[in-house]
Amino acid sequence: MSAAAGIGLKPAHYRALLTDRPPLGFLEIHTENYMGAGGSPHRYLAALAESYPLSFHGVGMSLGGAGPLNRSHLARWRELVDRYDPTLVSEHVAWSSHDGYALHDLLPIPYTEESLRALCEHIEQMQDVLGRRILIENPSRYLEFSYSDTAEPEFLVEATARTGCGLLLDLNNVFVSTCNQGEDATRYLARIPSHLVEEIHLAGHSINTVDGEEIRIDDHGSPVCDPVWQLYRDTVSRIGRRPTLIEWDTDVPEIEVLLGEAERANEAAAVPSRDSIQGNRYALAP
Amino acid sequence: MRSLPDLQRSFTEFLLSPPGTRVDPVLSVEVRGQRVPVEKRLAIYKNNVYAQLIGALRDSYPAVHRLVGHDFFRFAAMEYIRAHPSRSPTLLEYGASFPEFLGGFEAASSVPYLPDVARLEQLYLESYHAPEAAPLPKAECAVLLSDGSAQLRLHTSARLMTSSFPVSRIWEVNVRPAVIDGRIQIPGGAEYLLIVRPHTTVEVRRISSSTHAALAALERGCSVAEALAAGTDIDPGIDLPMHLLSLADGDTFCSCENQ
Repeated sequence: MSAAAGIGLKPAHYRALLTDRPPLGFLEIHTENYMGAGGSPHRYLAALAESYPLSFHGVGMSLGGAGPLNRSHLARWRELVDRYDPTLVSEHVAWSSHDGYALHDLLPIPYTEESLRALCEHIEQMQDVLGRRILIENPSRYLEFSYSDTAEPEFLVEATARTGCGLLLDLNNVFVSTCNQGEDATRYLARIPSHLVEEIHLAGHSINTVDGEEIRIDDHGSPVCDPVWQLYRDTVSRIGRRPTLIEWDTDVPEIEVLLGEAERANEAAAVPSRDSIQGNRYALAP
Repeated sequence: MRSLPDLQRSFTEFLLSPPGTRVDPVLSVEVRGQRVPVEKRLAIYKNNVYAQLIGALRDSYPAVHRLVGHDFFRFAAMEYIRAHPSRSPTLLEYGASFPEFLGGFEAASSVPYLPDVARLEQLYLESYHAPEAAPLPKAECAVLLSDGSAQLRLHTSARLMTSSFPVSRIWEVNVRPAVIDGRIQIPGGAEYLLIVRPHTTVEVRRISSSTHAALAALERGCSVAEALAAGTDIDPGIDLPMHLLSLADGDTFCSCENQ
């Protein structure tokens, strides 16, 4: 897969992408949004899959949940992966449902052996059902649990060691979480081994003031901020280029804005913007 | 320290509790807050949960949102979410019972057509996501219509609706991006509707009561003869086969093998 940046696929951009086919490394979807049976989401996704590699990014598996995974949700995932054969498949280190209630948010887990066991069991189950490796993404966090006995980077690395999965490194999440906890993003990143990182996410966040104190909220509703661009340049120079996604999920702007952010990511990583175009199909790196 | 299931149970109870509910003291002891207090940190997650679900309802019911305005919509959505928490990891199906909820929602009773507008938007969504099926060509439809014992299947995306209000016209003016100033005149009373997505776009078509009766009979699995009888019962003068054929021109039917 080319290292040129990709963008999140939004219905508002279906037509523009299909008409103009701008140079992009890949398109990423939230897998849950394509769990309807038919209609325009699938028609456009199938047409765009002719021109772009796809990345399937789940937000509802609840890999960090204490209870069992939702089997019908796994089965729908499997159907979609079989149908579209995405290049990348990922989910979050978080929980989002409990006892049949779906909460639709990526909720934090304590970093303990008990959590690690539940997470790893679920990663393995997802990998078994899909018949392929997945990537797991570091969450954005607004709180920590007092009894966590491992730091997040070590926790993630241990999960990859136990399950063979890879990492989707979300640099905006690293920045948001470390700022919210008064920690240092550079020290966090230094503890992530290069070879585990197979995709990078970039997004914007907002800064809210609560009781006179700043807290950063990962709302994917604005351009990537300068400190996160700096983390990206530092990361690429340390580990090399990786497929990089511009995420923008709230107040989605015109496609040109997303293409501009993707171009900026290419420049930051010094990827020639058209290196991935090979006629009508994008070349996959060996 | 509590077990992971216990922690997630009390976290879930907090997230689904009414706004302003106090945080379980044990939960707050186990959460570490530095500068920003624990309650405020937990509230961010709770806001996210409600914002996601309100956003999903707003996306699914744009005409209802426009009709009642954002503040009232938000109020109605919060009440609905409290009564019907999400049970599916995908938001596509969330809010299917919102029209029924609005029907019994006292605060919205001054807008009597609101539940029907919501019902139309729900059927629109069902049609939008319905399975694909090749439409039945008009010529094949004509053959089936001339055989009383034949079965004629509605397209997999077809949905039927009746309303005592001009619901499709109300819906149209509220999903159009153009700003409408002042009062608008909406003609007509009751409506009979066919919502169908034979290709990429969902179409909302106004049909006659007799055509509606015939299509409803076909939907129930009746034969062509029974469906035509159901339609002509309502309007003996109508040339129903001609009306159904013109619907076939608009790709309203599919072959039985699709079912």
